[in-house]
Amino acid sequence: MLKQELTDAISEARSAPPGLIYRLRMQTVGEELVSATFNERKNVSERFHVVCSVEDFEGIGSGIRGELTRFGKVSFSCVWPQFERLSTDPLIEVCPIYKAYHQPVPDKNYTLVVACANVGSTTPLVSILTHLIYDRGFEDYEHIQIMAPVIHVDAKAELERRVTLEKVEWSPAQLDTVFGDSWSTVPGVGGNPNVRAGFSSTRERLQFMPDEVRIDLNKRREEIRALRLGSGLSLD
Amino acid sequence: MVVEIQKWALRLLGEGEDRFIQRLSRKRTGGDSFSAGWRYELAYNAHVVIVELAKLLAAYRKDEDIVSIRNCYLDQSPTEFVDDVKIKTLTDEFLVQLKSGRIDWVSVVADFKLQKRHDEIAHRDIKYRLVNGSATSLASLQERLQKRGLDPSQAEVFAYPESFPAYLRQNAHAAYSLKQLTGSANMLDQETAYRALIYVIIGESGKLSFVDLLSKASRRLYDFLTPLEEYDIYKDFEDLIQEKVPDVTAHVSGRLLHLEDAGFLQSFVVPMNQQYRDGLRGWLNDHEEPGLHDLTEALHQFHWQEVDRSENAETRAD
Repeated sequence: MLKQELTDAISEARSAPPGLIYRLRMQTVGEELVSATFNERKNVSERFHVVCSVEDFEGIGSGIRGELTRFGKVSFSCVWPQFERLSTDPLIEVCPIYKAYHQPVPDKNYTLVVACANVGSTTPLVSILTHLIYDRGFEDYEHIQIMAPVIHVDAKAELERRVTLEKVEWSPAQLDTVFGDSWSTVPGVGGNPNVRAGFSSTRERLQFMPDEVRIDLNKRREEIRALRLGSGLSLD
Repeated sequence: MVVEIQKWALRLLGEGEDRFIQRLSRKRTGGDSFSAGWRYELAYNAHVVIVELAKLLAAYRKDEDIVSIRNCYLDQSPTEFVDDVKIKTLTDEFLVQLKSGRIDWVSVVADFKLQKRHDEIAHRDIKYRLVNGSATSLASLQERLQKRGLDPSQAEVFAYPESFPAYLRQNAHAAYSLKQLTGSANMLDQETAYRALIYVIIGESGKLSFVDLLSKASRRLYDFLTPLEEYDIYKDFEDLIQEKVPDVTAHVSGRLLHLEDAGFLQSFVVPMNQQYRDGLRGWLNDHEEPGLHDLTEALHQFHWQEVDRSENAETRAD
């Protein structure tokens, strides 16, 4: 049984117009999801790394990252997965990640949080986990917390079948039984999360970089450049 | 239609040509287990394609005769008694019988023996494999073959992979082969290529050379696959970018350029137009230690597009 505050927040986000209002309402969903997940849990981790797709970064991702700072230090990854269904019978889906930004991998004993507005097909979720854990070294996590307010009723079992990861926990979620036209569910969060977040095309989504990512990236680039020049590693 | 089997050799099997042709045509329609075994066959065929393509790529890189390489193939519906798959590699030819679960030994033994007798009469130098998905070990399968008078070296165990990580775990050569084919050690890149190959295999029936299969799968260049003749040809950009933009890690696999700096990853499509490639080369040579931001602008200027699956479809020839 979902908490009323979370149910209300999901309903409000679902009925919000696409773009900024939707993203703001999804921030509230993210905050409620953190409360519903961690408020009554004992031994909450003090270190979190939150990953989400670019369309969720300033919405649910932002709410979750902000609220988790009540419990400990929070770092983030932002990824741009590109989902495509190649075939329906048999079902063949791919979701490579050609673009991503990762803050450094935390030391041990952290919770790896995957924040997504909606889980229908598990392919994007599997891709994000594979990318992080197998390909980018986020492997020493204490546990994985999947935080999605609306998921397909089979999502948990399907994820379990597709990846053999230990210590995966799901936050409370509304269950949908119907798939939408892409990887999302109906009613889900009121449609495809890419469109709901305000992107009118895949190109626009691909080229969009959240301010928080841009600022952090520029800062790190300067630090690395200064470090290299300072240690005499210049090619001059 | 009997294509590979020699009719004159069937007559010499001694029990009447018609009976054997009837047996063959019944097998061609898939018998009773077509739907049950289809996914298993698909998974096995994908595995064969991956392993054999990696071997062919290695041979290509060692300047092996291209005609021999192109002659290697996968036949998904051979007209044979051992009839699930026919594989031609650089060194051998195999007929494969696939059994995902329980083995009907009476039928298997009959088919293997008939096939062998036929091939001896027809002087075909061909090997056989019995591949099983439920055997607990290779030794136990070999023992069962031996007990029934078949050569135990024909045994192979291939468990149906429930997921891509399971496929990699169960097959020691798979990760290595996929790394060769994709130019990437990343599991997600390899999984994308694996699924792209399966997608192509499903659309094919009968005999298709491994090289042609790779070409078909590579038409979508962002699936981390490359036609044989395009491997390694853009590798020079790796060193050039590395040398000129020291804060960046560059990696070229096939037609994709992957860049990484300060935790930020991006991928671009190497343009077919040589002017654009030369343009970037010239820009890199003319600039002293540009940052990634400058490089990204130059990439756009010379039409190196960011990978966008919805827009770069079928762009191998632009």
